[in-house]
Amino acid sequence: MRLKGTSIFPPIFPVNKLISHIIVPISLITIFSIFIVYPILVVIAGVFIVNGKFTLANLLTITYDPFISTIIINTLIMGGLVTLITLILAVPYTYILNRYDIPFKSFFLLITLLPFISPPYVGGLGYINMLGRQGVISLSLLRLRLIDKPLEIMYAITPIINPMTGARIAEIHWGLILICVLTYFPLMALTFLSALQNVDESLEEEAYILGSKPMTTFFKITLKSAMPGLISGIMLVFISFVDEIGIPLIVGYRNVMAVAAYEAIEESSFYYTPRGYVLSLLMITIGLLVLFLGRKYISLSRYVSVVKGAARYRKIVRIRGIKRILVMSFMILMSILLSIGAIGVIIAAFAERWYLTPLPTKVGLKNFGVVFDEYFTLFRNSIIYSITSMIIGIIMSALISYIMVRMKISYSSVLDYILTLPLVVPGVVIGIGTWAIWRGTPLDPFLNPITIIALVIAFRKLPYAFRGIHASTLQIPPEFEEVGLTLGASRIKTLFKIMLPALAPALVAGGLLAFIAAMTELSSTLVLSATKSAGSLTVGIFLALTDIRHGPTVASAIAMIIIVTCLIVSYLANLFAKKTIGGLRLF
Amino acid sequence: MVNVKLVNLTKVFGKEVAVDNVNLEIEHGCFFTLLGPSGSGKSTTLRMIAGLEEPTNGEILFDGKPVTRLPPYKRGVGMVFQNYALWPFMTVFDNVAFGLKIRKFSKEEIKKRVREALRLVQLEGMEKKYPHQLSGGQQQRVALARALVVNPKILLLDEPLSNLDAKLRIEMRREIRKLQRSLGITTIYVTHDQEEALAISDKIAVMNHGRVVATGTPYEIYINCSEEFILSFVGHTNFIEGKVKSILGDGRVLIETPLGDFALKNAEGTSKKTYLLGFRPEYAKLTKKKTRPNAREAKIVVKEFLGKFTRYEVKVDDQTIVVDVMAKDDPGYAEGDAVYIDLDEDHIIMVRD
Repeated sequence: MRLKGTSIFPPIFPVNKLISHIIVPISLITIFSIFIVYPILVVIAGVFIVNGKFTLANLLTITYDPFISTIIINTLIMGGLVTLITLILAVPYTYILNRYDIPFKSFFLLITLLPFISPPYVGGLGYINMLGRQGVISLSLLRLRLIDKPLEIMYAITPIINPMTGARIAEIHWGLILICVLTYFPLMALTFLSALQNVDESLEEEAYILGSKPMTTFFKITLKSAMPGLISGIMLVFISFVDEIGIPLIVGYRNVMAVAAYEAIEESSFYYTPRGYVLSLLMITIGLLVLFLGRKYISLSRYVSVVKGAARYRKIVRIRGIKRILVMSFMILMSILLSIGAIGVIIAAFAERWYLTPLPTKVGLKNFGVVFDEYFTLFRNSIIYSITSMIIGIIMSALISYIMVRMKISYSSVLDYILTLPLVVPGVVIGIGTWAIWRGTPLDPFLNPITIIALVIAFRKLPYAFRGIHASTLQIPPEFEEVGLTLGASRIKTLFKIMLPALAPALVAGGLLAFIAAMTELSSTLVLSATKSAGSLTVGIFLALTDIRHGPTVASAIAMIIIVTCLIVSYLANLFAKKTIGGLRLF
Repeated sequence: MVNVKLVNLTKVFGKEVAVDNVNLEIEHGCFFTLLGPSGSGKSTTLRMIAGLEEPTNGEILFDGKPVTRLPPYKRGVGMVFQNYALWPFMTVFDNVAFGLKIRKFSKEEIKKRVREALRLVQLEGMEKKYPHQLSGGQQQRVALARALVVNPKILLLDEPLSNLDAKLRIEMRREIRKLQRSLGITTIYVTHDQEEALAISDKIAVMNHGRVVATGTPYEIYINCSEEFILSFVGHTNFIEGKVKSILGDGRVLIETPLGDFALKNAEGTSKKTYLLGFRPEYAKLTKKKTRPNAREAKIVVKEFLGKFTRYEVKVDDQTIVVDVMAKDDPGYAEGDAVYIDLDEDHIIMVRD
């Protein structure tokens, strides 16, 4: 038997080992760190070191600055609520989808994917179009005289009062929570779905045989076995909320961490601002906490096992009568809620005249014309950022995966940690750190914004390319190359003639995923694009919203362009993903 | 044709000694098998011969020339892996042609040789297929053709049959054997299947815990070997304790066992008070009546009908003994029957410790 983890790189030439095990991996990770780790460190240092002296003064503002403490409590409470509600909705939805004999299954699955391929807050734009004061639903209900004042659900705020002092300590913005729940729903549903599919059916059957009732079996066996997937979903949703900048901006709510940090740094014209730095430090802390606590569950390499059992046979439970009606009503209601955002975007994108009527009075392609006339630079920028992310994603991921999988390097878990950082550290923080690092250099975001933004996005979105490519590399048996070696091919030749073609579909699929991720990126681009000409299409949505000549209809047209681009690219990505060795599935 | 010599070959992974001071000489044209349970170091030994693993210590010589520090692509071996490692993105033709392309043969020459190699493994006309369109047996043949097409000096086979079903396994091992004979190529074969090893090899080296426990022809390994590990690993052996009763004049000792007294030749000339004795299940007889004074009472505990023979597990006092009875000689005992067990004295082995 072959021992596990055996290297196919016998250290026959010590020089080679130095290059392959130390020099190459360290330089790759250094390049990555310059754009991800260094900004984080700069922000942390910025809190504690002022004018070259160590100080706790900035950190202590948390204790007395009511603005900061309100924002922290707001973010934690609303993040918790969003996570909890998403969990309560996604678990039954996914379970029904996975286990019951309901019709239109693929439709219900597709609906969950919808927000996944559109930039998260774009859905938010759609929800405002539908549920806002002047949205389709509000105006329809007013017309029908079912309500006499516009709908306020998107703006309702519940204050949380300290009963002792009567002071307002925090608030809950329900519109923000509603949109976030619906936007992050897929994150929870899809991670839970793959966990559910991997639950060994015989465990449940054994429980039934031993006399356990369905409910007990669900909580004691199914949910417990699917726990890693559920925990990873919970963490992803919570982190996404902490990172969220687009949805709060769209509903016009500013008292959450990411937005407050962004505004603090913007007010100071991108120079040092204690408040922005302290908020960033807090976000880093939350991110790192999630990373260390949930390491087991969100590890990049775990992704393989999640993907593997995706198409397993599963016994389908028949449900009849009142139970069936209840289940179907729940599924239909959820799918309506999930698709409202997309519908809202589509209606607005084609609206040429739409003023205080439930539906547009004139439709056409005028909005798209405006986008191409006035936002073409942003479209070009988006393409530049996406292609850079794709190229850097493919090259870096291929090299790092190969090194991690094939060479026995002692620090590979450290690499894994570092590569996971972009998933847990908010883009706003990276953006703020990047300003501090590159001011006054050739890559100054004021002078050369396109280059620095492209690089920052590319390294932030690296995990999206990396996890699929890494998973595929793991699936390729070392014997593939070993046969080549025995047949007379040198290592370089086996690398190019065997490993590269074997990995090609995964590389393309991973690259396309990085492309989509970059296309929908907002937070760090927003922080770094000090001038309009450097923004991406996602930034363009905000520019259009705040431009009185354009407004939500043009913003929706931009959103539609992003969605359609991502749809096409994700279709391509899936085509290639099917061809990977081991049939890796992306969604 | 090449002979292979392993001198003090050792491989250490971390703290684990995978291969421990192995010395072997494999003559040219020999079909040599490394047999052992999993973790015995046989695959690691093979991988060191291929150059895929660097020895911690020791030398590997091909025809007397050391190749220990040579990378695999300079050794000129052909290797077939357990999972075949066919490249799924290449056709059968491209898989087989790989080694020839690396060696920069002309297009015509490559075509000719690939066709020849595929004919050898009876896969003519399969050039354009992809590996996933082939059955397990066919994939195995492609892997073999790919290894042989470059005229390797040595053919290395790492558990090549373990992914096939039982019947195909026997068919393929005959074919591999025939092919090896006709090509006369030095072949090193790794397996954990003792029956396969006995059937296919000119010589076998049995490995355990990284060491070679014994080498010999299949016959020597099965019949003459007195190593306890081999007796229990290759086929089945019943072990019984024996006490020396007296030393007989002709170099034999009379030993008392729970199954009777036996006069055994003391080959090693040791003078111990107790011996561990072993005998194969086919060298005991079960009878209804006591036919010889040495026979002992036994009770049938388990009966397994295995086709050409029946395997009985019997209890003698509190010792369990396995006895195989050929189907044609089987009187058909039932579980619970009381019988007599009688051993064939000539086939009792004194186990070496």
